[in-house]
Amino acid sequence: MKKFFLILALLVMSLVLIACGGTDSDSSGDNTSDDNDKEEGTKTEEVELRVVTTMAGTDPAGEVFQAVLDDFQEENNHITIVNDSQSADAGTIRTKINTDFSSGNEPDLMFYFNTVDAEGIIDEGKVVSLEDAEGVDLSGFNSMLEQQRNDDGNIYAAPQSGFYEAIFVNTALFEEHGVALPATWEEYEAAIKAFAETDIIPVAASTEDSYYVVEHYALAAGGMEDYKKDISDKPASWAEALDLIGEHAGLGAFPQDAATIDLAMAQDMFKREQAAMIFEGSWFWGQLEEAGLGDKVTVLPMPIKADPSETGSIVGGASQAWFISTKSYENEDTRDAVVKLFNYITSEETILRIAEATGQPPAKGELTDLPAHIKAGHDLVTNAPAVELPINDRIYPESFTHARTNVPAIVFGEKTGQQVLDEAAELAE
Amino acid sequence: MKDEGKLRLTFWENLQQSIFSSKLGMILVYVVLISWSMTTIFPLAWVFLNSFKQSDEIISNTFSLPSDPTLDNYINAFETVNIGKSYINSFIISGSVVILVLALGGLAAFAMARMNFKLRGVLQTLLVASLLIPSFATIVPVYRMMIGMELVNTHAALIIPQTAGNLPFAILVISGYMATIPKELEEAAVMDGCNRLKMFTKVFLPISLPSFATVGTFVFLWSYNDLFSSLVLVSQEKVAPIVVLLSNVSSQYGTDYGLMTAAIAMTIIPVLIFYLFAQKTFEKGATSGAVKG
Amino acid sequence: MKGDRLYAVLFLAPAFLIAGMFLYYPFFENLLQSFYKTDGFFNSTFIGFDNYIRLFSDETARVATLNSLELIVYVTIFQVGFALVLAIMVDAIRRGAGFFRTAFFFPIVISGAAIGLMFTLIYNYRNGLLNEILVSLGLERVLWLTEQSSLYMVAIPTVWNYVGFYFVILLTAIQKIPNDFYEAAKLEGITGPQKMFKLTIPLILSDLKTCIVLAITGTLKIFELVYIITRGGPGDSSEVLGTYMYQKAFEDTAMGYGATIAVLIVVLGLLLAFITNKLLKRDEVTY
Repeated sequence: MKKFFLILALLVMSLVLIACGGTDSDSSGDNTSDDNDKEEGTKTEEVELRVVTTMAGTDPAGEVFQAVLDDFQEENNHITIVNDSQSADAGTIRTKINTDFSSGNEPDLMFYFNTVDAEGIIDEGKVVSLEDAEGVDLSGFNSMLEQQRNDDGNIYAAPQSGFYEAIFVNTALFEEHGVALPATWEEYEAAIKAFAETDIIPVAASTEDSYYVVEHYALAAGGMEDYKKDISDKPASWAEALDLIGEHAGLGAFPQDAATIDLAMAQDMFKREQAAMIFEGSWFWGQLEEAGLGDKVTVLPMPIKADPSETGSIVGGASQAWFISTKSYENEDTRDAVVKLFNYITSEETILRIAEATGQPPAKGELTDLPAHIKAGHDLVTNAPAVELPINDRIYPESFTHARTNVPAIVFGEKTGQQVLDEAAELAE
Repeated sequence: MKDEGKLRLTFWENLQQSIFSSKLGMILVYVVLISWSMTTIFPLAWVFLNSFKQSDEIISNTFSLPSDPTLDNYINAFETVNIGKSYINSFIISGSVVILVLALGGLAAFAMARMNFKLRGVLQTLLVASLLIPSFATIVPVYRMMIGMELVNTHAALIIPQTAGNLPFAILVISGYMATIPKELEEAAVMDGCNRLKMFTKVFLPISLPSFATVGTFVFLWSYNDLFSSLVLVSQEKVAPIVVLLSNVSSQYGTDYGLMTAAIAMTIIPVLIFYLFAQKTFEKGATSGAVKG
Repeated sequence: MKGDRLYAVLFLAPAFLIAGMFLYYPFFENLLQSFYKTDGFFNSTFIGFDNYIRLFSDETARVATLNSLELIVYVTIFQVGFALVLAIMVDAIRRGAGFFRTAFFFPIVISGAAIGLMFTLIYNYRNGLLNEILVSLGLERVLWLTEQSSLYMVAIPTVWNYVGFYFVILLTAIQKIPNDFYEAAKLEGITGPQKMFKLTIPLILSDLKTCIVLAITGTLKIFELVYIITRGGPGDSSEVLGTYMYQKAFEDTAMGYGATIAVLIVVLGLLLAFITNKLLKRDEVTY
């Protein structure tokens, strides 16, 4: 008994020691480095910059981005960069970034969603208007830069690369079953009916996580003009779009368990060739290639029901972009360094380097030697008469969640599209 | 009501009599225990088996043996990240949380269980109420406080709030256990001239060790698996515990199931070791209770 | 005992100080938010009790509350019930107790995310374990997660996941009962089942009460399993308060309304804990 206590006591002691030692040495380590920064700041102008991105973990850009930072630090010995990147779910990242900004702990440079998510930060003046910032180089960007322009007329963020959403089609399955690829709305509906009679699921989709489904049906039902509207306008075509989803579900367009599977499960059905079509974004290519489907799949724009001549317009853009925080820019010690780093990261060379890893259309320059299917996607963007951000990047989040999570209710015939739309609009008021 | 209760009791008595005292009954008991343990061992086996499969095989043939066993997932996990460092971080953080919770919670539990004072009822309600506070409801203010104290991305940033969050559970469970320790022991200790502190360390702490071990195990487990708070408070690699690292490896709820199962397998092992260690304490504590009682 | 007041303060102060600063104070801050309409972190307008009024007319909140209550019933009966039965059995056997003690603990060790994923793969329509079995038996596939069944389908893994937790607590409690109690009982001819009802259960009643309170509070907070297995669906048929709060506070950045739901969780839990206490009111047993 006594012996046991002795052991326990020793263990406790040692753990406490480790614990204290660990935290102490860490915090003191921090302190000294801070002191060094300040002391040497006046001498050799040592600067430490904190960069927050989502390029970490299994994101293919993660490694490349760290390499970019390493190269930059080698060229600029006096600048130390803390790469605070993490790939968590959107909820966690939003919480962290927003809390950082509202508590005066903002990063110097961040790669964040320039969407409704950043509105608060922009409205509070926490990030720099890039066109007004001295030394910031915004030349050479394609149209993606202009898309970043805020309602107040300023540009607060510079894009890295774009994305597009489209119907991903398994051409092999279409050929095998003798079905025509859906270039028009009629052909799309015909394809649904044809596949519904086979063992193949027409469209792999989750009706609960129905982000892309809702967006594409809205685009199809009302064309680009209605698609661009806000929830408060209650566009009639949006209600029609929701009803169309319900109607197609009745035709057997979606998986049996569409109401409970998540996006990953839907993707998995498509990857295993159990489904002929899926609404997805350009980020999906990586997974498709891994599954060995790259050659069998092609992307098509959503056929526009309202006005067939508009077909080709797509949902897409560049929702993540680089922001410089006002705090960092207005600090004499960090301004030059952060501008330098910004210009380095948004240079054509770096943008292409990162885009190469992800296969996304870059915001500057052009990728060469692309595989045919990736090229087809990039052409989709280049040839699109109009490109607009996803609805959920623009409208009041609660409204979109309401519409999206009520798709199953529409499918089950419990609610009509108009009803859901009205409820969603009410939330935004 | 009472009569009915008695009637049912006798019915149960007869039934149970035949179960516990007969050989057949004992067999039945083992059958129940073994079948339940099958359901609990199965998922663990599932995780370990799948960690040797490729990701797509996990979905397509999730419950079969790996057709082509591979260590890729583990190699992948080790290559992308510095896993040793985050094991150490995890142990510093969760170890400190367990020690702090047991030390502070044990003292408070003793007071709650064996002393009479005015606010006892209020505090009891407060403790139950705090079990209901979800960590999402406190994370933003806590994060702000940590930024204010310049503790973000140090071990303390996670140790302190996790200690606070687990204390109510610890106090409730330990005091529930202490409440039923025989009164004579307390009186004997008073006779020996013990003050309250001595009574705690000499009598109540040793007897309650099993409940300390139980609480310690669960607190360790919760602290160790708490991804949400860790992501917000200690996300930088130098201090990140293993859950953060592994969520970075297989981005949360990601589709790389192979990596995910390997990650889970690697997180489970230390906890099982911790549990086995704590279980020894149960036995010791249980016998000591019997001897003294 | 004399001088207890001083010791009570000394013993309680450190714990409640830490909890006060890092648990109660942050929660209080959060509570204040429930009187604001928040849109992200920077826009918040004071709206008085509007969030509470909204809560009372919110159909989804009502469904989520009822679902949470239903889950509590299952969890309390089955989780604590199974745990009690298993604990008594393991205490009664001579061989293999150590093995079962370890084996029953396994599910708790695995994070909720992994268990959620596993059950997703079991229930899955196209390739799930259950349907694969049905198909290999020549039967039709069954849709396991429907509006009618989803709550039960979520309750199963929830119950299963935490039986081991209460098992460990109850077994610890049972083993604390001094042997001479049983010996004395034996002399009086009380054995087996009688022993269980007349001795064991009354003697661990306070631990049992703790378990029930923990089960209630734990279930009210439940989030991960439901979020992964059904995402609250189909429709909102398996929405619970935890998932609804997360959705509002973090997916929709409506922190204010999320905080209001958190208040509802705490109030409900206190009410239920109070009722449990009243129902199980007994003189505190000491041996």
